Amino acid sequence: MIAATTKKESRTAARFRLSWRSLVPFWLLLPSLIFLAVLQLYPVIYSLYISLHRLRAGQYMPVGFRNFERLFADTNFYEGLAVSFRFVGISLVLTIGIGMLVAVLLNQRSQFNALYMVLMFVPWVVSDVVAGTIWRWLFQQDYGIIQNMIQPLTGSTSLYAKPDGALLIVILATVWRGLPFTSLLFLGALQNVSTEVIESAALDGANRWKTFFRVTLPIIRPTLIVAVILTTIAGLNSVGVILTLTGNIPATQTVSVYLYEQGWQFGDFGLGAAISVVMFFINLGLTLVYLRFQRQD
Amino acid sequence: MVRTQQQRRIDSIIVNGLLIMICLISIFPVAYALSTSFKTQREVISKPPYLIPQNWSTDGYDQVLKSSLIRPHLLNTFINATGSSIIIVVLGVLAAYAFSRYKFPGNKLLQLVILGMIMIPTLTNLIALYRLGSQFDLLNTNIYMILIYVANGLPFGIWIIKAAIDAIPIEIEESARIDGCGPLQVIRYIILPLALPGLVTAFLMEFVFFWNEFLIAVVMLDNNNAKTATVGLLNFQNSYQTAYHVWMAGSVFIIAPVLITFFVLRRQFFRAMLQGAVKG
Amino acid sequence: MKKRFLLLTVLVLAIMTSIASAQDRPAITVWTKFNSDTPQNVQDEWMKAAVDDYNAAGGSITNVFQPYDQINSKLNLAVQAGGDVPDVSYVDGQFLGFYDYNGTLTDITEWVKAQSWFEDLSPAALSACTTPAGVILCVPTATPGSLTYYWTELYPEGFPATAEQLLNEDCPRLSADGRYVATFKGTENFGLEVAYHSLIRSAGAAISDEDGRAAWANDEMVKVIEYVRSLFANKCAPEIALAGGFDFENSFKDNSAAAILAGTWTYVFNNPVTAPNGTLYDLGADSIFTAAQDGQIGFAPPLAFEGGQPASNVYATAWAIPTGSANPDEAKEFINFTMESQRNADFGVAYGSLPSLLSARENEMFQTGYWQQVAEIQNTYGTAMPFLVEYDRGIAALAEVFTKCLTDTSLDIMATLQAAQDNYNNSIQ
Repeated sequence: MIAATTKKESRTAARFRLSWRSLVPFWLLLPSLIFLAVLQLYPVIYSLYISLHRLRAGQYMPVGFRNFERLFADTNFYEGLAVSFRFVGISLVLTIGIGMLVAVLLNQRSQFNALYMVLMFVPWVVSDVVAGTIWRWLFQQDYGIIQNMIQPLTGSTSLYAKPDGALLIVILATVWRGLPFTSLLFLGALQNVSTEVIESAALDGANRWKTFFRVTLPIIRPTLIVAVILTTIAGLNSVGVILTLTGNIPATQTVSVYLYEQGWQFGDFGLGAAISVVMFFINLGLTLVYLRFQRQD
Repeated sequence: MVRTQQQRRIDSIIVNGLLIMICLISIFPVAYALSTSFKTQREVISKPPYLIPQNWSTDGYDQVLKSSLIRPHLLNTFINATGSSIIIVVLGVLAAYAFSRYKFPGNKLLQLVILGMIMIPTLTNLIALYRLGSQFDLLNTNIYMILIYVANGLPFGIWIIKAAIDAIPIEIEESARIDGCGPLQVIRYIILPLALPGLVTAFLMEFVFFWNEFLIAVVMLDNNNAKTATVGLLNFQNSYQTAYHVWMAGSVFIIAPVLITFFVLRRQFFRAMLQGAVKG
Repeated sequence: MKKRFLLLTVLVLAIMTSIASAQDRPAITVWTKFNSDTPQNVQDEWMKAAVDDYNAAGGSITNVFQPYDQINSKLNLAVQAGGDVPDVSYVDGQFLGFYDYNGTLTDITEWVKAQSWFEDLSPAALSACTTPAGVILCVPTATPGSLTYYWTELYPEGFPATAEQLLNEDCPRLSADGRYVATFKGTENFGLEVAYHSLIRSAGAAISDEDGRAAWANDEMVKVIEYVRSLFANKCAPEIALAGGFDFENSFKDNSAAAILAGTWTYVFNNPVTAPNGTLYDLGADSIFTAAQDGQIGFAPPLAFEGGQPASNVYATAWAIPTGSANPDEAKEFINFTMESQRNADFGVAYGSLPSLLSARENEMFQTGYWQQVAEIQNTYGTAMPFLVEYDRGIAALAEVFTKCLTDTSLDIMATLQAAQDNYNNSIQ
């Protein structure tokens, strides 16, 4: 803390300085707080309000919890949740798993690392709409170059005409975009693990695998959990890639696509707001669960 | 256990081989999009598809250049993404400094509340923001998009920047304080230079995000002069068909500037990330 | 001094008159799904010509392109949340119930009835813009509908009259040749509106009951889904039909599918095409017409079951004046401008459907074989979609049942229909 005053100062001066100083963080935070209050907090409260109303011809009619009742009675909502968890679960495992592998490889400090990292980051700058269309194009039935290569495996039909295939391509595109950032996060964590710890483990006779899982992994667990949280939230809220890649079909209708469909396409703003509220708590709940893992020891 | 020279060489081949493969997978879709953008309409729908255009054509680019994708759409993207990222970094530094260096009641709680805003689904706020914009007559303006983006990106920005400031030893500031520097001066002369990689990282991540932002823009923007490039790209896709070579040419225009920005800032970005810019 | 004063007066007068003349014709905005900025096809070019001509005639209109799958939602949001409402907008006639419920469009009944072209409107087109209460909310510009295109060489005796015949006789014959009997969009709302609508009607099933509630869980609807299932099971239809998007069309373009369950607009997008004899038709929107002139492509009513009537799903494209339009009078000027007979006929050809004006249908452009057949199919088999308050959601819910049951053949059709029906009836507001 810096706010300590020197004893020599007079009492009044100290009090003045203290009160001014204690307001400093407030002044520093004020601009951010104004932004967040007006353009985040107010809209959220407004959404809560909409979720209890029906909007028709510009008028709000209170309907109590009817929107939530409709939501919880809608089987599409549960199906959307199921698709979301499948989608997020698989892409999470792949992103984290491959991301870790890439980080370990980069941590061998090949002389070409700088080049590898630049090339690897290309997908990171590609927008979700563009990425979705490019991937759709790769798997297009007749003209898709990857579809043509895998034709012997899938038969004559495009992979995305099959429900699991459509979800798989969406997952691949998502992992493709999420991988560089995750790898970099892990690489940072790995580089901060002191070599002494690794070497002492090696001296104890542990092989490289054992050292990694018993020594390195526990040390970088905080970073691992951050990556898991970020990947999960990004996946749960992903809309652009899915819609551009497969359109709105049941096989890839995640709960966020369901929100897009109901709350935006169908113009059912009340139900949309209700879905938003539920989704917020899902996001929050998952984050809290993950954070529990971090605190366990 | 000392590994032999030969083992090391084999290791190196495996490591480099795998990394080259990952790099190829990373750039292949974008490279193929680039190749498609130089094809003719006819070649785009040829069976089997070619990896490289048989007849190089700039038809896709001609159509993009004739359209409004560059001006005003890409220009809007540039204004919105740059404006919002810079404001986020400036406000983020002030806020993060307050969170990092001052004890005040509710510090932790406020941080958690702000971090919690990351969990709000994007679509949640849009109806309210649309109404708000129309009440203040700000709909379809770059200013309003920037304001929305700032609020949207600020929680993440503060989080990243706070980690960068946390990493600066407090002792460095204390001497400046004794010399009579106020908090703004400390931020200006001590925090900014020392936290620069962290700030660049925050800027780059926000910039990339808002350059590519689609969902907010597609709902909020009704006006051709205000549309951003990701929304403007839809102009090339009408009801039942997509002219893929034109679309890919448009995509190249969207990807290139942000790729160059990344390339210019990559050293600072990598350094900050490797030192743990995104922390638990 | 005097000179300067005079100059100033002239200048002020000039500015005032220019303002005054600008006030005569206020600048207006129109929302369409046509990209007049970068025309991609004949529809876009029609819009560009309309904007240019209107502005050349002293008007001032700006066209704002909205993606086809967003325009109805965006218009609704703009009205509900007080956004920059356009003065006039393109609307899809099927959404009339949705617009009526939400109060999105202004009642223009009196005005429409007073216009010179009112008597000239096709009754089907007018009814597509009229609510059950008799309120006219939009001005129909064309009446697209569904029909079948087929390669004549692959159906030497014409396209089969019944769905059963297609499955039992043509499918074995054509699949022996490695061909599909037909391709179609099998998912999303488009699939239901174009491919399944006629099967549903001819089987005796319905999209909704008289109260606008779902009435799907019945044997007739099961029959439809089972039929389409067997089309896929017997490789009579390409599996790509079950993907999102519009890739299914390629099977017809390269004649690997012998027919396409299409709309009157299909020729605008479905080109180039290659005939079974190898002839390539690469003439843009004229490709299909030229192939038809050569006797390569034929047209038939939508696919229907034996004992039932084919049903061509006829709806309307239309202009509407949204609630909150700043310049409704100038918007009406623009509508009047486009409802001139020749321009209306041009729109019909560009959009790919019969124009809404009967006089425009008399235009020589519509005297070709294709349009004669379209007119006959629509006159004989034209049926409109039900007036649904939640049209989009209802159609999407039923389309989802189709997609689910077709991609997962182990699913119990009746149970899935029942669940979707209950779900929809519970979820409507």
